[in-house]
Amino acid sequence: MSNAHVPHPRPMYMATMTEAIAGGDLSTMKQVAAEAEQHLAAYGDVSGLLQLLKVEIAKAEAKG
Amino acid sequence: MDQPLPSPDLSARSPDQPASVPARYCYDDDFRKLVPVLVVWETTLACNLKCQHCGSRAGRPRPDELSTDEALDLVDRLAALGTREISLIGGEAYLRKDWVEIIRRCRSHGIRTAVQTGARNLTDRRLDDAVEAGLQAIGISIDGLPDLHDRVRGVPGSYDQAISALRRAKERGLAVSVNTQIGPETPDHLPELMDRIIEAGATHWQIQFTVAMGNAVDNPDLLLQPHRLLDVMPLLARLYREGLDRGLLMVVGNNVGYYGPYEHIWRGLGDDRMHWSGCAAGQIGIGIEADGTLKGCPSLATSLYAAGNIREMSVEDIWRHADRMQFGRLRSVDELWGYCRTCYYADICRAGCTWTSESLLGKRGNNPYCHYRVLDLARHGLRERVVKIKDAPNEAFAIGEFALIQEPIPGADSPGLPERDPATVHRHAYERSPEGGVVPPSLTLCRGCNQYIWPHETGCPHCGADVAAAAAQHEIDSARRRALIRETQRLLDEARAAKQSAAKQSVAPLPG
Repeated sequence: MSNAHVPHPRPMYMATMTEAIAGGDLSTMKQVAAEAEQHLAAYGDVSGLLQLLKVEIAKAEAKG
Repeated sequence: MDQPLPSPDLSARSPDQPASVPARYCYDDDFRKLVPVLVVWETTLACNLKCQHCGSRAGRPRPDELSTDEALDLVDRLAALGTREISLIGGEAYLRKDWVEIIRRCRSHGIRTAVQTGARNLTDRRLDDAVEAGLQAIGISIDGLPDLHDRVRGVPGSYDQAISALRRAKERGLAVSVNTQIGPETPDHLPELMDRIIEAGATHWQIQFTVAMGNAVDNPDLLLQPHRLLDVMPLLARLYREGLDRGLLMVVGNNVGYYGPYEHIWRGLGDDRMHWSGCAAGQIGIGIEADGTLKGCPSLATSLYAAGNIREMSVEDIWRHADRMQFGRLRSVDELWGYCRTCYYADICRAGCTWTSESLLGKRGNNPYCHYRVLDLARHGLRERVVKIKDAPNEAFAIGEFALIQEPIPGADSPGLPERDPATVHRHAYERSPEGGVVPPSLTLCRGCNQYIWPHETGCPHCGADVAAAAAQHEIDSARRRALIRETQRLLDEARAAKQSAAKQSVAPLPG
């Protein structure tokens, strides 16, 4: 793979390059994981609630 | 000053460079075409702090600082040469009455403009004026928790003023960052300092080692001993990772060296194709002293690197032709000495930061502030420390001299370094462009040990891995990670779209 367009970052003694963001798979995975956790938090524990629903359904059906 | 402006060559910027890429990321064509992408400008030597490590011994303004007209003309000429980013420093840049005019002129050319400051008496009025003129970013120097910072900066209360300025700049929409110099007392402060600057709103944190120049030569106790990289670098790596999770991106300065176990993590901020590729002074960067003296880097010793003054020559001529500006384009591995001369990375690293090595040892080409070197020495039971042997003159950017002492690590078995033949060091085939620029080489990352290697290697000289086989396995792992990222993003996108659709339906008017 050509590296012609790979930048050479140059942090001299100057104000930090505040436009920079972290890249790479690890950073992206962490970002996506954080979004997924936000999603789960917003929707609550659907999986746990489903289990409770099934138990209550089974109990109601058992009572006839 | 009456020469016509050269035409800007905008073709140097990579055609696929998105707008979000930092202005100072430099590409091969920037080197080939000699574009001074970065400019660091000491607009005045006047300063209201009394920093014990100040390399320029700032305090009083220089007697012959540029006039407003000269300064604004200089901005125009840098823009014409293709400059993309200017950092205004000092002294304290805002002690110049026309600093806002300089910012406004920089922004009129579309140049990214930032100020690096100690922030003493950086009032709301000054901040408002700078923001109104178009200032985009501010870097605030904080060297530790209050007691240490105030002592090093020489003014009680300066820490509180710095943190206050950070918050107030953030409130005004500026990009805010912190620069921290590492001396022997600093490492213990770093974890709590990181908490505090995150809380105050910083998003970026530049780390660099205090350099033996100017006031720091008078106060050598402020210099970190090179062997302490053994414990400081793992600490920095831990804070880098913690910072990522907390919205703070650590940017290691160019004297935090080089090619050790963390190079692939932080130099490219996660993009491991990027790595240290040598001092760029005079290749893509210019430093300006307040009287119009140009150097390849703002921090280099004036006595050795003053390449010319814009009152006597055009900026373009100094940039393209002055000997002292060109040194970085002409140097070779042959000028290296000491450990660096026989190092595996000699012909790309070039002994790291020229400012750091030359200020310390009086001659560039050998740099003990290198993690790869410190680890190599430690494996052989050795370490290095520095001792001052010569004071620095009482001038801005003056250097003294330190002795470099290699000694056994106390209590360790010290077999000593094996003999290494300088003739066996790999030499890269550098090519000079018609403009006189040279492109730094690119290394490959061994996926077996995450150490950089020259591209011709088939077996890793560090870990012995089959380089191609390790790369192939890495590709498989990488493809799996990217597929996982894509699938998770797809599900999240669908969930977001469903939520938006439900929200629209809930506010739609009832039919009939």
